[in-house]
Amino acid sequence: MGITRASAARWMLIGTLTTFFTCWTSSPAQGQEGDNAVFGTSAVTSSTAYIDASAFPTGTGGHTDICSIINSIYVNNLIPSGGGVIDARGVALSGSNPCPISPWSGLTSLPPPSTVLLPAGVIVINVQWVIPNGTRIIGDRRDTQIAEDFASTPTDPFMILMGNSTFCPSGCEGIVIQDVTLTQWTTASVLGIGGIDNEYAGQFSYVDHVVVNGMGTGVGVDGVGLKIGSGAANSGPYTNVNYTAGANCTSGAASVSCATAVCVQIQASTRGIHGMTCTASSTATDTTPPPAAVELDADNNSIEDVHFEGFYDGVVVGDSAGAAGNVLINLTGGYGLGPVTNEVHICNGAAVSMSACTTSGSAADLTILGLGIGGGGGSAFNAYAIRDDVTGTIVDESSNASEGTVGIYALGESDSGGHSRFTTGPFTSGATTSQPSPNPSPVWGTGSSAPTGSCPTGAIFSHTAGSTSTTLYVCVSSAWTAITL
Amino acid sequence: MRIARNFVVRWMFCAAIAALLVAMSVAPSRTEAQSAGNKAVYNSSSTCCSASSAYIDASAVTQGTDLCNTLYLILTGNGTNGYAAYPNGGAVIDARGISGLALNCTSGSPWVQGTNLNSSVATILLPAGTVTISKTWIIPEFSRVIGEGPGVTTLATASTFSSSIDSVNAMVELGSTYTSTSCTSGTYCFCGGGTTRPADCVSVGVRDLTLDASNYTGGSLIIGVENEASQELSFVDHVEFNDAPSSAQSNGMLGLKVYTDTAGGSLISANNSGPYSNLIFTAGSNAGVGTQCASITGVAGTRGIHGLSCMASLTTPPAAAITLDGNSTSIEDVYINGFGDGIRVGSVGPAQADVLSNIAGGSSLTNLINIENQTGGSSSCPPGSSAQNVCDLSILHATSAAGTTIDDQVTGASLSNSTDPLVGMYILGEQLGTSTSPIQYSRFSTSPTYPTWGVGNTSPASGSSCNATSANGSLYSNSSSSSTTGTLFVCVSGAWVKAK
Repeated sequence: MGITRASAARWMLIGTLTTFFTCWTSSPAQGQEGDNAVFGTSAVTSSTAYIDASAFPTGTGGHTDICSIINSIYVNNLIPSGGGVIDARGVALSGSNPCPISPWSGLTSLPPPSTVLLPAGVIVINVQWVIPNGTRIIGDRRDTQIAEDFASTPTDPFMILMGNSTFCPSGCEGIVIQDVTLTQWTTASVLGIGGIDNEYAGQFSYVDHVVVNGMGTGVGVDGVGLKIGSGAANSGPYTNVNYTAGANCTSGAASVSCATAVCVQIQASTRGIHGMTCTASSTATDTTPPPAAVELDADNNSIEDVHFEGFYDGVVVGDSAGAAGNVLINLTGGYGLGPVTNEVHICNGAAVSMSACTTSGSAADLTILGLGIGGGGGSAFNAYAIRDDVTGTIVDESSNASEGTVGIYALGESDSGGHSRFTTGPFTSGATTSQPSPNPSPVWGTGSSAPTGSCPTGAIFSHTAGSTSTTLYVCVSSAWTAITL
Repeated sequence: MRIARNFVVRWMFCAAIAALLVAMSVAPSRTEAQSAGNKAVYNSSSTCCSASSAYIDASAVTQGTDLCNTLYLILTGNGTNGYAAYPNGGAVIDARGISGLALNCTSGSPWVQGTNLNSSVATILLPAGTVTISKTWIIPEFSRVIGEGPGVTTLATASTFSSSIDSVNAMVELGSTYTSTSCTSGTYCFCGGGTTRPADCVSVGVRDLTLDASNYTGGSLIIGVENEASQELSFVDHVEFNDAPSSAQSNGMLGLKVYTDTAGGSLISANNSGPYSNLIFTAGSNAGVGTQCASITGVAGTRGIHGLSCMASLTTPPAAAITLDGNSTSIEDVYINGFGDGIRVGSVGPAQADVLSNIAGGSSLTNLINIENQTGGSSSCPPGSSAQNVCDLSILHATSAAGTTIDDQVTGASLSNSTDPLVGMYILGEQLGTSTSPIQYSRFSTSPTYPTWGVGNTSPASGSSCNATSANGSLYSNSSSSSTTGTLFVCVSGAWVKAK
């Protein structure tokens, strides 16, 4: 009987332990590596709301860097087929642990749509990132820095490509880059690399809160900050962008041609650029300043709320291709890191010294609203709000510390040897050693008394209290002449 | 008996093991390095749990006296004060799990407690509900405060709300001009400067919340968001400003103040800040006389205000919804009602090269857009020191429901709702000629009330009427003219006169 009791007790113990072990190994339920742990109805369970990349091992036997970790998630098909979020914000970063591959290297098929959350810190990349269709990379404010340290210059010399022919066989949609800073690693040996190139991504593809700059060591990106190629039609908007060329663009510094320092190249019709600052280091005596901050060589774009410093031209329109139907709103140029000679330069199929204008460009139907240009910067320097090579016009000279502004300048199309055009001025203009002799800038004035003073030839004036002989005036040879009706 | 004892002992042993196993099954594995507030994720063995520092869950750390104190303790954590060392590069702090009485912040702000301050970089996610604040939240550079949406997350003033260490009476500040020799982060405690960093507060943002000043009973004007120190990539987005006090308030609320001190020689400014987008401002009938949606003053340029509804229901409408006394600023997609002026331009300072687009007014508005005829020494509108504050102002698509659509006091043009409820384009250029009284400006408007350029394929027969009182000097091109019907006409004394 005692044996029987003892045996029963042992079996009860074994059964209890078995139950508990079973319970222990099965609850909390097993989850996929990186799954979020959440409380379920009875125990902690896994959630596939996102995949936490920090749960993947690093070091010996594991992954060595954040890109490889993320890459393994893609390569091993851990993302739900409908799409998912990869949260890499908990991955520790180290400059001594650069990325030898991209997060999307080695993919043999298009991955599901995904959002990748990147951590604060510096991600040093040894190879170019090509972002697949439907993929969004989002940093932690501008504190997520992606630093280029390439071994060689890629065919398309940019740090990040928004799609390519492999990932976008029929074009891409929904590629997003947000809240990151792109720069060069302090020991980078390959210079002249640009920031982002979009040649394939269209609808719902955008860039927001992105900084492209150097790291204060005299080494900057000094490539194109953002290129929107001809295959990126209907992409955008490109918002809240900040580009700073490297300090070695300053006259006297060597090694990098400042001609490559371009803030944005636009070669497609887009949803526009809204909110941007482009700066480069240059001086008023530079003979090779960065030619242009924005090269606009496509139709139907809006560029709004933009500030320039240090480029010869702020926006150059139609420098290497036709550009029509564009709208520029609220642009400012200031002598901060360097002067801006022409805030907007409208090309006319002729090469211009120091400018990006070439013989293959042209511009028409351009509307400009709200320009402000500042000269000076502590030294004598004349800046111009608009240089229009199509009509041979220079609008508003800003000298020294004064600021020149323009309300509206609308360039239409060729008409009987001239061009349709309307502007509210202003009217001060003059030739300098660096600019051609400008044609006058006729405007339409109004007032309740007869006009006085000098005027731009061809301007008209409506006297709102005039009679048949004193209502309409025209400026002839810089003097007002009443038209008798 | 001995058997019975053995049985009990065995079962006690089993119970102990069972308790241990239960504990093991309930408590997550602590084999990974972790700190309170780390989130738990499944590890490489596909079992729960490893710690992830993707964000810090503020609800899981030792709670301070209130939400603000808890956040302050996290931001100042050094590993020895009961809180993990806060990352130098900043972190995301998820405070969405904090609720209840802790949302009544009496201790100060996340970055300032009493006279103690920190400028740690963070993205703070605020919970749904009302967070009562007693002091200004000064947000340091690179940092963001993000709610769960306007009307869902509300920062509400305590009745005794007061300014923080920089004496700016704002609920939230994007950076600050505050300086102290005790600050190790630079000349400007929240924005760097000096030998360590440039004086340039960047990337400061507020998003997805409501700022409510209704409970404030103090006598000062209370500001929703003030920015006089943050520049590039600094923004306010999807923010609602609300001031609906239950009893009469002294001064009311100024929703958004963007300010650059042009006289003080300060190294930092609000230039190039913005955009300020998707904003709603609502003031109730008891709001104070200083009620105002936004003011932009002294800036050399901003990324503009894009998307704003601005409504007040005071018995006596406040003077102006938006005052624009800065340069190179775009204001677009705006609705205004319940004020004297909708947008008042150039009343106290230069306003050059600004663009107003798609501005609509309600039925309780005197002037939708009021262009003031003021002069200032710092204006660079030609011809010089006596220049008007306003020049090169572009207005596209202004729509009024009452009063005056555009009151241009510079040139004396007044486009009333009765004649011009819609104005497609009104561009005020610059002074033309030498006459300053009366002033002569380049100007273009599509309104036929003032000199404009009309076109049609029929002739306005000579003698037919045009606006007699103000459109003198208008032009008309007949696109299907002959030498007899006329091609170009001029409006003179209320009648079209054939010029050619």
